[in-house]
Amino acid sequence: MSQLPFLAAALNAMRARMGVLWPLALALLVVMTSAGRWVESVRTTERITRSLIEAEREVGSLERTIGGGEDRAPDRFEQTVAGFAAGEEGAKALLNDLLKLGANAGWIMTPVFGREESMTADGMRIERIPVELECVSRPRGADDTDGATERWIGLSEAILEGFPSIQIQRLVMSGEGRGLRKCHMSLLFWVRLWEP
Amino acid sequence: MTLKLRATPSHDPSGDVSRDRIPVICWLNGAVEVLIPGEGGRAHWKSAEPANSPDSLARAVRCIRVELGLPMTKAILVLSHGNLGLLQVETPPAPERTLQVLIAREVERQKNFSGEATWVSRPRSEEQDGSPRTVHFCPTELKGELVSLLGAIGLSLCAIVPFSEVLVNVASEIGGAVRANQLVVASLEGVVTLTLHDQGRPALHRQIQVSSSDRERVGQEIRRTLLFASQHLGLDVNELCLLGGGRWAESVEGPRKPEGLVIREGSSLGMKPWLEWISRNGVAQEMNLLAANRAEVGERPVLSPRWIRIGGASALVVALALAIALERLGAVERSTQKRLGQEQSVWAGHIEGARKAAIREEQRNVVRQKWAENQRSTCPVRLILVLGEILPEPVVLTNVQISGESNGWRVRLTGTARDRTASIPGDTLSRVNLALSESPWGWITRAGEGHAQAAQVRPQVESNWSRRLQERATAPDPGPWRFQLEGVLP
Repeated sequence: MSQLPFLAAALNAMRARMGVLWPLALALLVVMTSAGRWVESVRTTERITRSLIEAEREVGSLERTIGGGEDRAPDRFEQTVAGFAAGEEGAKALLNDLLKLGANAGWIMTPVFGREESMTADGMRIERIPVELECVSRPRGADDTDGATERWIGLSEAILEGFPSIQIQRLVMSGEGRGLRKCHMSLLFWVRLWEP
Repeated sequence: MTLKLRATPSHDPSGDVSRDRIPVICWLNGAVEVLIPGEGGRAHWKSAEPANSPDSLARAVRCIRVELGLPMTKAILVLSHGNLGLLQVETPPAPERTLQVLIAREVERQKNFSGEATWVSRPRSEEQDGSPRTVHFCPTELKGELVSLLGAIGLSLCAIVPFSEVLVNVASEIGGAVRANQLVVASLEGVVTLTLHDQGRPALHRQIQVSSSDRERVGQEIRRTLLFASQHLGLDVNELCLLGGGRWAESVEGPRKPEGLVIREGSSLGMKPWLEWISRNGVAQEMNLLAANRAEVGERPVLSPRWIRIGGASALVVALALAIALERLGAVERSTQKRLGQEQSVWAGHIEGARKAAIREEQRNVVRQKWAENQRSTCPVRLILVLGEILPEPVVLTNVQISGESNGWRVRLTGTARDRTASIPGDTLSRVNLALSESPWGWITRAGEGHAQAAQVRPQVESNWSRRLQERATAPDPGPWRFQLEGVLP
């Protein structure tokens, strides 16, 4: 309503300037305005439709990617992560268990920790911690040199089978015969830490 | 209004009046006269009472028709009216359409009445291009009123001729062949007309309400007209024709008489001979305001404002209808946009979810891949146990190196003789190879054996001690026997 005086003034000005042709000018103005609005609407609709088509195409592409990944390894990730040590306390407990296992098997073990590597998946931070483990067989008497190899094999098997969150990268044994008394193990500790 | 008709036939009114000839009705200063031409003569009637409006004119004509008992269906109307006008318009050499526009503007500017004007024009001289034009005009409303009122009594007008045009032509004819610039002054029915000719063509007409006996006033108007012609029209009048005047020449003669002006005098004129002249000549066809109206509709280059208004209003209506249709289409488009916008937001959610899922899957793949890089079997651990059983008695392992590779475990075993002094059979390593190849552990890709060399003393600086030690040195010890096995386990 506030625009009515302005419109009336504009109409009067048009009448004064155009004379008897003012209805033609007004008609042309009305048609041009309406046509402009209509053309703009059509263009907007086209733009929205085009963006919808692109969105559908992108979602299809992403779903194919996700579906392909799941086809390759269904729920393998959950199984894998389930065996990781849970949290910092879990990692400490894992190391203690490993040292206890070695001590029971007659080995003196010294761990050296390397630089950890972090990854993120499913809302948790996963860390891979390299551990260099120096193992020396504790002698069992003066001539107790035999049996170190068997004990070492038992220790290795126990690590590989009993500690799913530990991976062996490298093993070096030295000694002689069944008395391979010194061993160097390169291990990887896998730990999952939940993000706050 | 009651009209008393006084029939004054020039011949027997009951005589044979031709119906083929068109009657002439003259309406001048309230007087109505009718001339009906016929083969045997002409009948002339004059109304006794004046008619001061088109309505009273129609009634007078109807009374005349009733009195005469003639089936008069067509007529020429010679008209004098206060709103009739005569103009001399200077026109440049231009196309006819342009001239029409110029004349229309001039008429619009000069007319002293409101409403639209109807006009007719003709060149004042023989030259068509660039000569001034004589223009007669009248209100369109008056013309329409006359046509409709006379049409209501069954009389169809063939022409409406301005009385001034009749006067101009009649005066010219009575004054003789006009070749010079001539001013014709004539009296008729209480008016005095002054008609100026430019080389035989009417250039100016004035009609003054004055008695023909008012000599001083007529003389004054004659002098004013001569002065106007000289100053405004550029015409030097050299002949003055006085028709029916009462000693008008005396008022012109004297010291103020223009030099070289020839004065001619003639007899007074009545209405009747003028009407006869009209019916005899074609002036009605030349300056017909009724024909001007028809020509105006068909030939005017510019549409009349009325038609422009009608066209504009029609265009406005069409435009509004079109605008409404376009607005409806726009409303449909907007509703479609709204629906598509909702779908777009839904799809945006889908895209966001799919992107998050893709990122999550990529992170999972990274963890899986890095885990799989170091996930291997326990084969090499058991291999050592197996080797302890396969290796011959005199041979022992001294070093085991197992390192993970992309395709499994790389294993390197080093051994030596248990007793360094004992002799080792030459086929020991071959038997070990054979035993391994026959077992599930056929993994060896390279095997080697030999003696380790003992270190020799090689002093960098020659001295007495070193020389004496070298002299005492015996043959070098070949060292203990050793072997090495390498291979890759899955």
